[in-house]
Amino acid sequence: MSDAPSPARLRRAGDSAWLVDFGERTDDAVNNAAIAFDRWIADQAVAGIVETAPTIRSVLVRFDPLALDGEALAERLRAGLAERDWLAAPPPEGRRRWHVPVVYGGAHGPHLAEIAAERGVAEATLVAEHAAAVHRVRMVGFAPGFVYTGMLPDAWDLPRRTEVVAKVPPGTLAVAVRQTVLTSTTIPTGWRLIGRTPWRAFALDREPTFALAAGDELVFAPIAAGDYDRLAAAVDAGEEIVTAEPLA
Amino acid sequence: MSAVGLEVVDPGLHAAVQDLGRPGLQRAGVAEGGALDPRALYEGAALLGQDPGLAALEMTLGGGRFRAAGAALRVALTGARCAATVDGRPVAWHTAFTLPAGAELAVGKAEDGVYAYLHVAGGIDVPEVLHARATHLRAGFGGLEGRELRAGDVLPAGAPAAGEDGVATLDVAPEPPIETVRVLWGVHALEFGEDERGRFLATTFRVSPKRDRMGVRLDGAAEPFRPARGLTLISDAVVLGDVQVPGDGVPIVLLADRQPTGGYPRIATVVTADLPAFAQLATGAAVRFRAVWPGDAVAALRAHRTRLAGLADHVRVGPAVDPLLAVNLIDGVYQGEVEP
Repeated sequence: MSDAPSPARLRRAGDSAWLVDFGERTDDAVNNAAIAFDRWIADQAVAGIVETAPTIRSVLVRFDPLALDGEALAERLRAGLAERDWLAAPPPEGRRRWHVPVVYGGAHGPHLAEIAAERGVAEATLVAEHAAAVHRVRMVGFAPGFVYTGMLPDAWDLPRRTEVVAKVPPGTLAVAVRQTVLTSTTIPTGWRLIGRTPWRAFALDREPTFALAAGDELVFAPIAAGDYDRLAAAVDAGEEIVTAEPLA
Repeated sequence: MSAVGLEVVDPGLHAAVQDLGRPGLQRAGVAEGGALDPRALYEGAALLGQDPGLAALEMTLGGGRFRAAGAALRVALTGARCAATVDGRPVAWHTAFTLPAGAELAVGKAEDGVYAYLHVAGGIDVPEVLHARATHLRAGFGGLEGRELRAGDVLPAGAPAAGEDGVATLDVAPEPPIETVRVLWGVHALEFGEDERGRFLATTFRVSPKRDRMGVRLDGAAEPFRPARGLTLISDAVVLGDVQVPGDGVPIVLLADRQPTGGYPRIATVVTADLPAFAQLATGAAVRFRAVWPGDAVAALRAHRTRLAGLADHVRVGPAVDPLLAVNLIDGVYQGEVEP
């Protein structure tokens, strides 16, 4: 426990990591705090830290315990936590808003229809709601380039499906629990598949390999199913099919 | 076949290129991956006089046949012990020797572990992807085309460091299979209550057949493990060795290819020094956990790394006779060095 003004918590995650979290919440304030504290650690350039990774409301700090004493590192982290009110941290500098074309429903989003049936609305209404929302990237995790965004309005507080789809292709948008995830590799998931973009957030033959970072925002632009293959071919040819604008 | 390198005649059950992994990408959703028994990479490197960071072949449960294509190839065999032959004549495990051009190395089933390693002098020279040669099977990158090996693949070898030609052996025995695995209490240990934590340490688990490079399920508990209250956890980063308790209450120890974030409670975390030995536990093996202090874990890691760093001083290279004649002698040395 720390003396920090924010309700930050420091927990040991094995012999080679600390996990710092900013509370049992998933709002922008805890996400900004995690991203800002992650950058603060990077700025300290502490020898012996192997890597750090911000997530929805926490930061993993991996270190080599033979190069850096775990308790000494904890003291530095506690001092950093006490240095300012991290929950008041602004969104990260350099973040961007991405405009991403998406085919909603049909073969690319096979569960859109069942969500529409459950909610008693037309699929077009769901598409309009989802495309009108700004989806903030809260973390990259689970799989390479796999992005968690949120949070959607309460009407999107959907449970995961009990059946897992074993092979969901890259570029898929899936929703559950007021969040939207964007896949970058083939994965199994119980989330509900609502659409697919020909764009790839993770591409080994592109620089940067990982396009998205926590704090970025995504806005999805509906496109016709017939446009998917054309845009996918453009991506294969190295063309950029998304735009990204800097956010203040 | 004109390619030069290690030709896969039969890959066995699962074989893929691995190295020490790619740390530093957890923020991009990439767990470090790499060999599940890094000790074996250090042993292979010592036997071949090269860098432990070079890539080798990880063979799940052993098995497989390989040929030196186009040229003689110096190789080493480490990790789970397997019976092995070169053109039908036995060779000893935990050794390095020269595979003559065109000769076939046959590796039998793993006898005392799960992951066996075949090293080549100079390392397996596949392209680096995201700063490593480890195969990320789920995402399909790294290694050879991001996949397990198939018959007919030829793995290129890098430039060898030294010009040894005899049979190299280690005069220290491999560590025996682990029975009690040391853990630190996990980030969610307190969610489980004292009784559940006590039961976790008192249970003799059995390694489930449901195991892979992502994790190992542990059967054997009389009842599922349950947190004291219903938990809806916000997903956080997950670390190597975390003992995760999913909804069915059956613990899973997360290994190198785990998902880098997760929302299930983690009751404990295996200490780094014990992870390679844990990963080598045979399916069905009994295992218990013992909670230690962080200082104990660090001391164990120091001893572990010291042992690995010192392996190069324990390499003995036999006379340049027909290496295959030395097999029985080497086996004798090996047996004599096994700790009781």
